[in-house]
Amino acid sequence: MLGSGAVIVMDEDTCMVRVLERIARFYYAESCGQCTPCREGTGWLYRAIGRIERGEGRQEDLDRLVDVAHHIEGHTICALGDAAAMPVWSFIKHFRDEFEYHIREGRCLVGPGAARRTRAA
Amino acid sequence: MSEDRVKLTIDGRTLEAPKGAMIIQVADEAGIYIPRFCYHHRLKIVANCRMCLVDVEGAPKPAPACATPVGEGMNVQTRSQRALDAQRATMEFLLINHPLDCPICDQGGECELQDLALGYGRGVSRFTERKRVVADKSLGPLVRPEMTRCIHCTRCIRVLEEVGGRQEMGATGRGEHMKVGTYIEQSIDSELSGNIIDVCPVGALNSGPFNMRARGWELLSHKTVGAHDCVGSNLYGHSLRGHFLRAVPRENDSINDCWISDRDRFSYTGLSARDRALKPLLRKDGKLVEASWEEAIPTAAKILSGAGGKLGTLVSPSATNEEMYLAQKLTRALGSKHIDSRVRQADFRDDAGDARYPSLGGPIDRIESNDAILLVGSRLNKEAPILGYRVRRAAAAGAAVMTINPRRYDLAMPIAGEQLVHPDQLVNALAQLAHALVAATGGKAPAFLDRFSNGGEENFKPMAERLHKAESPRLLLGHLALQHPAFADLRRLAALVAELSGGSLGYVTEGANQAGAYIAGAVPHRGPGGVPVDAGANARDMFAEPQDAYLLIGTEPEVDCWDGTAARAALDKAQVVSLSSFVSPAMREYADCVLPLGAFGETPGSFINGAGLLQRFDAVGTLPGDARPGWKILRALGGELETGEGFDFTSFPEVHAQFVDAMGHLNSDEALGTYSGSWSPEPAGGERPELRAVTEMGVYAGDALVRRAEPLQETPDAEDSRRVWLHPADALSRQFEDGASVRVLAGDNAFEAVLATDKGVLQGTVWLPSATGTAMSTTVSLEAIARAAEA
Repeated sequence: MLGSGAVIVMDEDTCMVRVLERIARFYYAESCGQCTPCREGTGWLYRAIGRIERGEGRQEDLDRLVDVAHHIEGHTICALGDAAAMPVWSFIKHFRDEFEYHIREGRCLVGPGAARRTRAA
Repeated sequence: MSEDRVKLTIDGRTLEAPKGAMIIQVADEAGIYIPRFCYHHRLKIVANCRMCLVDVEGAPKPAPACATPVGEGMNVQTRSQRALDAQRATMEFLLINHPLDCPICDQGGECELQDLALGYGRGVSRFTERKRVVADKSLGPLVRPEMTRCIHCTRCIRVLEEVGGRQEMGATGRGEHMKVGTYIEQSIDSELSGNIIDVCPVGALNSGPFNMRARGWELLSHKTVGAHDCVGSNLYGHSLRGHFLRAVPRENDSINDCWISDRDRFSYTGLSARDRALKPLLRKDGKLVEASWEEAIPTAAKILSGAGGKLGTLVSPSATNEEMYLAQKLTRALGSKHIDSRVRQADFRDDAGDARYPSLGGPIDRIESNDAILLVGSRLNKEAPILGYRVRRAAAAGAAVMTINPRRYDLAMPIAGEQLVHPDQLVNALAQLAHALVAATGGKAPAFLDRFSNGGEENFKPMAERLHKAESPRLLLGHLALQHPAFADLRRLAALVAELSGGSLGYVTEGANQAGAYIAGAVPHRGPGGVPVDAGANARDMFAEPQDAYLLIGTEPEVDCWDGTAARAALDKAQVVSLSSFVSPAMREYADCVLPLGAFGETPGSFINGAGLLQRFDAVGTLPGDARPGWKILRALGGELETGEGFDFTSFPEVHAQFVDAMGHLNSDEALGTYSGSWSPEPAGGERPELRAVTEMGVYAGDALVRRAEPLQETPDAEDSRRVWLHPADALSRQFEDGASVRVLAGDNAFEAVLATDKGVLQGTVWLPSATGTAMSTTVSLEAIARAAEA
């Protein structure tokens, strides 16, 4: 449901934006760079999610992220591109409210990050 | 429909294609364009750009058209919604990190990314993150990198590996940090390096000399032909307001595919050399002064006709057919028989038995189907880079490439057999090979072969067996064989080896038009059409026995000739009329009349390449100053003669037609001549305490134009060919270090140079730059030059 099929157990205090940033960073770092969608797309995903996590996101980022993820998926030589794309659209599909809150409030909905605003008000 | 063909549908059109072909190849053939970046029809398929994704019915996801083989009944949509979505997605990814610097990018207007972005890109970017920036490393004087623009298609990497034969570029780093480059900061040394500029779909790799000179749409394109080797690569010359600004390949499957050598690509830069001859010069009171054409032509004609039978005409082997044809007409009309273009040949004993012209032994593209290739005295990849490419392709297809060379060269291809022999022993080596071949074929050795016999043929047994077993072997005699003091014997033996092995024999001649010289009659033993005539003095004898006057056409004998020192001495004593595009300091001293000659790219003309192909070409730029095309100058000189017949034409096409009339039909694999060399070989293995000179024409030293092409002169290849090369042991025994400055004493000649060592050089030989004018086999001694600090 959350991507490549690996199982990660998290409690309800875990900020899904932060988790997605961590996952996106993994694929960004692991992409070999051979084919275009994965080489260019994983960096785009990681940076845009990072912006949301830092409280610098915009509402239109969410649909764009889903679109970019779909543009990587199925277009690459190996399955790493698919694996990088799937968590992005599935996180946003299942936890859209957390992402929207992050963009709107500049802080996490849950967990330790909920207490502080990351963006200067 | 045969079994190895399939039927498929692309965009609703039913097409038939060979099994195993890729969708993009079938589509290209049918004129259906599929966008692509990494795919190149002459390079291996990598499928990494993902621009050519198409919709194949039944496939779960879009398939790359360049890497998907066609199948029976396949239904391909190149412009369905799914295909277009995939192509647009790829375009967006390619553009996010590509700088928006088209206005200051040299590729602007002829950029594949720009063109395709128009069709597949968005009007406004959705990417708001920061773009990638890549620091550039120098790639040498020819290619100018701007790697921030790189889209990682890897075409350049594949060109250098598959065409150039070396992995000079590669990708380092991963993901977004992947960089295409030369691993460490170093120049690209391939003699075919300029081709990466053509294949680069963006402005990441641009031409250094052309940088910021013009926009693609401002340029006029002219068909021309490479003027520096016997291949005759097809080119387009691009000009802006009469200036030759760029040369790019013109695709020709039977000659150069879509590649050209750096020499053909960048030699035009020599056209703007500082010592261009712009006005006629006449010697008055011992000094060369500018004169008008009206004054210069009668003066020149007077000098030439004054010499009568004692006139020697030396034509550059890269002169056009028309110049050669008119030069011999003029020389012979003046009563002289002495005309030659074989400037670096030393042994002419078997001229009488020569073939109609020196051929490569068959069509150039057929080299790829030769299954055994023997190079004798040849650094093929530098002598004729496109031939090197063809032989490399043959080797990749399984041909056994073998060499008999006086130095171990890196030919950038797998070598199946190698014999290193001292230059003095080159004849013996071929004789031993011939003996081994006789043994392999079980035949009887011709009587003359006994004269060369001195044992040692067992070393050549593997080579002989490979040649014997091969279906279509080819022997190529290179520059070092052609300038060998016993060339007549070399080719007699080479002809025997070719005959015994059932193969062909070819010559990698110097200059662009040595074949044309034979057909035009610009050699002492041949008239127009290659018809034998009463022979005059050849290029060596006309200087060994000084003439009263010389007519030079596009050549600088002091550096072009086999024995440049002897040539210079003869020129100093004679009256000299020089049709030249450049006035070198030496020419200023010996010439009595310099007539400014249009150079390559400034005049129309024609060449005959080593496969016997006549290729006509146009002028690219305009003539500088008062320079005139060679045919016009020769026509004017002919008009001054009392018997001025045959010079009454008024246009280039008329001269060309005259030449073509005389030419007759040419075969691409001109039959072998009947050679009759008879050298007394030196005993093998004797002690040679002294050093023997081998003068090798550097890759960028072959003619007056490339010698003035500054970007080429800055390459490591040019740097190497200016050095004096020794075996490390010879250097050590004389207490010279690599890089030491030495004084070279070669015969009457003395000069200073930088010494370098190479294990591939044979002990007892010293390799000298051809520009020093030293004849091959001269005994050489070296002296250290005391450094200033020690003095």
